[in-house]
Amino acid sequence: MLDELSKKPGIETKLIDIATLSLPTGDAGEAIKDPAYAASMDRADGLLIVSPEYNHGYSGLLKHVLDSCLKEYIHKAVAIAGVSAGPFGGARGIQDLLPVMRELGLVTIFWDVNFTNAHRLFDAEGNLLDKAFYGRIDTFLNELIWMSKTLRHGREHISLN
Amino acid sequence: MGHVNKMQCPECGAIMNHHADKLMYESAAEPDGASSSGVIAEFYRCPACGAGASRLEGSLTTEV
Repeated sequence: MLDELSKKPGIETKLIDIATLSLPTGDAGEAIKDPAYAASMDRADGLLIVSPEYNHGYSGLLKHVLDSCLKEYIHKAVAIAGVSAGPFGGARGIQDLLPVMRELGLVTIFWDVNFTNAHRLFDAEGNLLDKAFYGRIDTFLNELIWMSKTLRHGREHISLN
Repeated sequence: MGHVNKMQCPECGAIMNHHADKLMYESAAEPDGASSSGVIAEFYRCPACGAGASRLEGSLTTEV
């Protein structure tokens, strides 16, 4: 995803591996905000979440991290790519994430990417082996970029009142 | 949820755009027995520099 995004002109991308964030587990929400993560969310116009599915759901760690911010997300675009070992490519985890995105103020695009049978879909270096995915990824990213630009214009120039 | 107090950008001083409201429940701030009616938080973005800010409805205090 990062490689494909890097091909888009005028787009700056930052990869955040949430496994490297050390948020405490004794509390939750904005009380445990990580300043660097919050600054990245504030600066971003759009989010692309790559979410592995575990037992038909998204990971608890992802929810814990997402909950640590709020105002940084509001009226920004989000796209979700699901990953699973099975034939549905994280679709069930994506469905469960949608109401969470809404409550955080994020605006979902209506394309997903589902990386099915992930253990066979990528090589040892993480390269995508099925070239048919690239067209879908391109459409997915283009919509995310369009939505991100549109919402940025709205946040900065279109008033509620 | 409009109000007459314009939000000034804490970064560059420009007048910010009010783009969202959200009902917030701050349970930790409510005394025992208080109703949980919540408060409205207002969210702003600066058209000049892109900075974000928020405040509670009607408040003159900026929370960035």
